[in-house]
Amino acid sequence: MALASESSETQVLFEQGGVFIHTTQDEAGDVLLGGKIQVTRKSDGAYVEWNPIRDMENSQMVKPDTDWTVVNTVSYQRENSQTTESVTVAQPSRRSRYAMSFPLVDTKKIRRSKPGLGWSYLMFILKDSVSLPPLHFHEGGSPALIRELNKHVTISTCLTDSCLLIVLPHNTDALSQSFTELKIMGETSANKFFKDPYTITLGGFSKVTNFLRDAVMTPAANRPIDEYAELMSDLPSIFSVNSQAEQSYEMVVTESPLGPRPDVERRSPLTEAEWASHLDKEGRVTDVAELQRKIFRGGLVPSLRREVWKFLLKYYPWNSTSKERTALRKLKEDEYFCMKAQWKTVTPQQEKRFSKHRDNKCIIEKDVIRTDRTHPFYMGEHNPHIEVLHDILMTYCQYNMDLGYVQGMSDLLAPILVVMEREVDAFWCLVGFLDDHGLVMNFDMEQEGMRNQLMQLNNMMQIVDPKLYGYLQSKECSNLYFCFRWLLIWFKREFTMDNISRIWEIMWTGLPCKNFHFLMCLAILDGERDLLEKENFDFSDILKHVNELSCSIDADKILQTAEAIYLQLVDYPELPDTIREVIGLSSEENGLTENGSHASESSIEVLADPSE
Amino acid sequence: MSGSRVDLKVVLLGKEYGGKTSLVERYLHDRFHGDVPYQNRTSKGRPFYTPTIGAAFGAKKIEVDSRTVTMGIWDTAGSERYEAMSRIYYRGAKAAIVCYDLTDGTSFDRAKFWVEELKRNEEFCKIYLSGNKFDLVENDKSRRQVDYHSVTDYAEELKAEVFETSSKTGHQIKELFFKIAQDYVKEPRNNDAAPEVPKTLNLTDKPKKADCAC
Repeated sequence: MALASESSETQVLFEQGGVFIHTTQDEAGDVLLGGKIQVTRKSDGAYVEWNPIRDMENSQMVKPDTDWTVVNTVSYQRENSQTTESVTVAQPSRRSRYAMSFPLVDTKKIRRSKPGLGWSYLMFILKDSVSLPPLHFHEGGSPALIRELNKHVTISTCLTDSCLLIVLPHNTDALSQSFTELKIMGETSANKFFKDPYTITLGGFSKVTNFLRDAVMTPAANRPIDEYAELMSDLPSIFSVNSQAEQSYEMVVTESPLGPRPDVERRSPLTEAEWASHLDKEGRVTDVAELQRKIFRGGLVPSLRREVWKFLLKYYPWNSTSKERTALRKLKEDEYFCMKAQWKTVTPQQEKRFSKHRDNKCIIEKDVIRTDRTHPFYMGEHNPHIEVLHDILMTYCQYNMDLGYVQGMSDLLAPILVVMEREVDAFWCLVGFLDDHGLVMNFDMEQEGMRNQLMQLNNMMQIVDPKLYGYLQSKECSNLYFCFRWLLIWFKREFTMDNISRIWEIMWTGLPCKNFHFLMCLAILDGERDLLEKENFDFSDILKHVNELSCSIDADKILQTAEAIYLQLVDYPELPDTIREVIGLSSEENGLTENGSHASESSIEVLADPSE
Repeated sequence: MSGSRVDLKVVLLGKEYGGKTSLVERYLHDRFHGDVPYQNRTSKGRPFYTPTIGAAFGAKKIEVDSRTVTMGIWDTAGSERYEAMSRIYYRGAKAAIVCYDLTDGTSFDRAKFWVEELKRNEEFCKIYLSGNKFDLVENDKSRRQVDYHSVTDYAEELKAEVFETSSKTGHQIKELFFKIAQDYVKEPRNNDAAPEVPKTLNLTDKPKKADCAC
């Protein structure tokens, strides 16, 4: 979207006002020169320009600079040199000695301010080692600028100095340079993080730099919280290409690039009559896509859950007949009791030599007596359902011996058993939840799945809610650890049993997109952003606040907001591929293919488009 | 209460079901609901001691030697699976309460694991060993699985403190936290009094070093 500009050959690609140069004038003190920065496209490539705005009302002119109109060249000190050389930086027709314009490809490095120190600044260092004066972004926008520049050149973070960005041309031997940098770095304290960069593909190099920035550059002592290093260590391969990681280093952040958030309608739950109308004579479910859309939009009436959840959780195939399901159930029952017999028949002698079994058993026993005991289904001493929970989880350990039981699984099972009541059905539904909906990834030993998710959520927030992202960065908690519980057990602890049942069945439809739970997270945070900022909450406050949201979140509102965010993302033509991938949009230009079996499952029609 | 006004960061570490959450609940809210879990409710209708996922935070002011110290207390998940997360929470802690269950010998092994971690990574974090569920062993000595004297021997090497606490009766809990606050106040390193003023960026400073080795 190019703005009109003075020269017909010059296209303005980016513009940000409120960008100041702070000059130090002799005894009279500081002068702040207000101006705007632009990225322009000229016939020979992209340029960065800064020009003062003389009449800007909010220009914080402490003292007029009389030199403004006279000088076309500007002197800046060469780094590593005591001699001052005059370098031509700009050839402007009017303007001050401070005006600057230079081809972006001449930029070698960009120094940026440390986060959280008030106004952020960027300082351009050119190929000939000329350092231009720092540009202070009083009205924010430096991340957006970097984002813009990143379209034209490759910007990566210096390995030894997180405040230094290294600029490389897009299409040259950037990679070989990168590897030169790698070797230099290999001799420094960052050594240990280079155990295996060579196993990473060349194309993944930008992943490595970002990863390393996060892993190496955060001084541990005073930054107890904002540590990807811990979660991210030895996991460069999962680190998604993340040009957005460079985007926000200041408290004042630009608006979200997304369009306006549409209104979204929800409908009432699917009724028994509607369900019946989707079954053919043999009991096959017809028009599954339409049915899923209805479920997505309103959930199910509670009486349908026991039946329909079995489909949503992939226990029953949609195209099975009633007869086939009866047979399947019998089969699954045998399979279940076979696995159950395995742990039931472990003798005390065997148990002594079977530590994994002992550990699983010990934790399950303790967990089940503390799972949802306030819900009528699990209430009261000697409640038999507690034992059913126990047996299902023990049997799950036989089903997935490598994984075994991990805390959090009892939370996933409890609502399912409430609905299913039957042990065998509940077991296979739990298996479907864990295996087919990917939650099993949340429990792996290395916590890779959770790290990955936190990163993906972080990426998405940068696009969806840069304001909140900027705030969280300023509080050093853009790691989003406070969302850990949400992601781990899909909001189970955040809603009442009724609400979580509805939310889960909606999420199990796989609509409107993959990883809808990220959008749910962003929707919840959307409702908290203003409070967090107003109260100036830091990480500990946010964690406490988020934990206390439990059972006070408006489920419908969150579902609506989350879907609306999805629609915004779909409509955003510049949505980065990494995010497209996360939410399962095709990486084609417009991302929405109406046909194709995959797309029909992962996209959803907007029933009521309020903008029309 | 804002965490940013916390003087003293305290973290609880230890094996699951070692009594960390109970200890925090007792100290912060002077309540205990561990015996009859199905009756446990918070005001929002949840049992208190569902296994901690992620972490929880609470803060409390404490008067020590006519000084008010605000403690920020971080309760972590005990499950080994979430160890990496717990590590994040001990960063920068001035005190760690490493919990074990007096009726569970293996929980003390786990406590030793955390002690080693802390010694390696958090030089300035003082360690407090807390043997929990003292009420269970007080009346029935046969249930004790962790010997007091072997713990104190171990603690002596570490210069760590040992408390045997009961969240059920409140035994030694105030004492534990008071000791933590007292040690904090006594420590000269923490006594430069003036709260740290965030450094401001000197706008007139030209960045001196605009380059690095790469």
